[in-house]
Amino acid sequence: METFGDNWLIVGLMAIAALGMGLLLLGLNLLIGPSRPNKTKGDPYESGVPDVSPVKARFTPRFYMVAMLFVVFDIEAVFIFPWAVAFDALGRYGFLAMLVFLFLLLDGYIYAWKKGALEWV
Amino acid sequence: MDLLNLDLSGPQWGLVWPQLIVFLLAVVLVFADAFIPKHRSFEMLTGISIVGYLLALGALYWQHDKHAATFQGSFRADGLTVFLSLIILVAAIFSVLTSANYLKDYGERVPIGEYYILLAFSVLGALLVSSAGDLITIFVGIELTALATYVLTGYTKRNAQAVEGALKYFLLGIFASAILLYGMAWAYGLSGSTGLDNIRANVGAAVEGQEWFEASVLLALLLLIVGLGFKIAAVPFHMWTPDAYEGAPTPVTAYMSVIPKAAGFAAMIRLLVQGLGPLSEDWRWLIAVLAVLTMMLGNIVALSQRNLKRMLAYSSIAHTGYMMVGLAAYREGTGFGNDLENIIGTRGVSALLYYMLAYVFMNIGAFAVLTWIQARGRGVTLDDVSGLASTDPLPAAAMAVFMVSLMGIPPLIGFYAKYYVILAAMEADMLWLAIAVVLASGISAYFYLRVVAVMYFSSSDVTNTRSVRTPLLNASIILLVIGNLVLGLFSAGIVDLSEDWTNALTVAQTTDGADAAQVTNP
Repeated sequence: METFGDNWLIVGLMAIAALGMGLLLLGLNLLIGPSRPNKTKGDPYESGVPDVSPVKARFTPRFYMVAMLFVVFDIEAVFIFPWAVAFDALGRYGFLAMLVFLFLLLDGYIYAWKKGALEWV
Repeated sequence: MDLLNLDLSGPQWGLVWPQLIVFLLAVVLVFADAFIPKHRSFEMLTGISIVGYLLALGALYWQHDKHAATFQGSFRADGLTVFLSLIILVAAIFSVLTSANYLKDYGERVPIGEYYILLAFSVLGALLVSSAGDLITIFVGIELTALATYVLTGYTKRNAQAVEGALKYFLLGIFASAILLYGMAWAYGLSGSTGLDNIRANVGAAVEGQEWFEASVLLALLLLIVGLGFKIAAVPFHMWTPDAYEGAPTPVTAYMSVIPKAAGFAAMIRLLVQGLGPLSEDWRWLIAVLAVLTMMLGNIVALSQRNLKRMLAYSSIAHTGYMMVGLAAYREGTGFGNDLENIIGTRGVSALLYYMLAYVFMNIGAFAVLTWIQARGRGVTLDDVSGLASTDPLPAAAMAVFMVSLMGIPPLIGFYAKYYVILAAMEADMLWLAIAVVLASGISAYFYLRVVAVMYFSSSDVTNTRSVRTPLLNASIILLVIGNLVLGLFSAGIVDLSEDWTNALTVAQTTDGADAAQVTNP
C-alpha cells in the first residue's frame, strides 16, 4: 500500500505532462507565430468557396444512400480478397463462413433495394 | 501465431445459441421489413420480435450450467453470461411490449421496421458484452449497443429536441469509446494479450515488484473506468443523460435507461472483476468515490425537476451509483492466483446483478406508465399527472408502485435490491459507503413520493385527453407491477443463484484447445 500514492503520482505527472505539452505548443504558436489577419482568412471557408451562394441549384447526389451502398460492396471486396488468397488453407469451413457473410451482405442489400435506395430521383 | 493453422472448425456452436438466436432475429427482421406489406408490418414485426426474444430466453437454459469458452476464448458461456443475458432479454421483451402502441400510433410518421431491427441489434450487442472473454468482443458489443441506441434516441427525426439529445449522446458516446479503446490498448500493451484470462494471469504475475509497471496499469484502469463511466452514466460523465432521456421517445427512454446500462455494467464486471480482479484494491476506491458522487448528485438534482422524464433520468443516474456500490464491494485478496479463498466480496457482484434485475422492473415500469399517459394526449410534467388517481386509478396505482419501489420500500423489489447492495458494502468493510446509500435513498424519497402525492392528492386540470386502446402496453405494465411485488419475495434465492454462478466467474477455465496457442509473454 505504501507505493499506492507514488503510482498515482506517476499517472498524475503523465496527465500534467500531456496538458503541458498541448499548452506549450499552443502558447508557442501564439507567441512566435506571425499573425496577419485579412478578410479572406476570416471567411468560414478559407479555400475560397463563397460562403453565400444562390439556393436555386437542383441537385440530388443522395450522399447517404451512395455511402451506405458503398459500404455494402466495399466491405464485401475487403473480405473476399484475402479469403480468396487463402482459400486452400481455410478449406470447407472457410467457404461456409464466407457464404454466411455474403448472405448477410445480401440481407442488407435486399433491404436497401426494397426500401427504394436504388430508385434515383 | 500462425493464423492459417488455427483450427477453424473449433467453435462449439452449442454454446452460443441464445446469442445466435437474437442475431438471427435481427436478420429475419431485416428481411421481414423488406417484404411484409406496410399495413401488416406492425403486427408481424411485433410478433416476430417477441417470439425471437422468448426463444433466446428459452435457449439460455442450455447455457446455464456451462463454464466454457469458445471462439479462441473470446466467447464465454458461464453463469455471469446467463444471468446478464436473462436480464437483458427480459428488458428487451418489456421494451417491445412498451413501445408497440407508441409505434402503431406514430406509424404514419416514423418507420416501424427499423425500430425493431435496431432494437434487436442493440440487444445483441449487450448480449455479446455479457458473454465476452476478450477485449475486442467487449468493445464490439458495446459499440453495437451504443450505435443502435444513438439512432433510436433521434428516432422522431422531425423533433428538434430528440435530434439534440441524440447528437449529444452520439458525440459524448464516441468520445467515451475512444477513451475506452485507449484504455484497452494499454491493457493489451501491458499483458500482451486481449484475452481476459491472459490479462489476469500476466498482469497479476508482472505487477509484483515493478512500480513503473503498476503505474501504467493504473493508467489503463483509469481510462477503462472513465470510458465505461460514460456508458453507464456515472457522475461526472453523466452530462448526456438528461437531454438524451428527455429527447428520446418515451419507450426508447425506457429501453435506453436499462439495456445500454446493463451492457456497460457487464463490461465493467468482465473487465474489472474478471480481467483486472487482482488489482481490486486499486480500482474499488475509484469506483466507490464515483458511486457516492453519482448517487448524491443524481438524487439532489432530481429534486428540482418538474419534467418526469428528466426526473427519472437523474434518478437513473442515482441508481447507477447504487449499482456501482456493488462493484466497489468486490474484494480480492493479495494473491494473484485463481483460488476462491482469496475472494472476499463476490457478494458485491451478485448484489449488483440482482439490483440490475430489479432496476429493469422498476425503471421500465415507470417509463411504461409515462408512455401510457402520453398515449392519451397528456404531457410528462408533474402538472400532467396531477389528479391522475381520480381519472385513471389503475395507471396511477401502477405508477405509485414503481415510484415506491424505486425509492426502496419493502416488500417491493427495490427494497431488496438496496438491501443486498448495502449488505455487500458492509461485508467489504465499507460502512461509509453503506451509509451513503441510505442517505441518498432518504433524499430520493422526496421526489418519488412527490409524484405519488401529486397523483393522489391534487385535483386534475387536464381535460383534452383522448381514449385509445393500448393492450400490449397494459399487459407490460401489469407484468412489471407483478414483478415488482413478487420478485422481491424470492430475492434470497435469486441472489444465491447469482452468487453461485459468479463465484465460478474467476475460476472458469476455457475448454478450447486453441487457447493454449495464445501469446503469453508481454
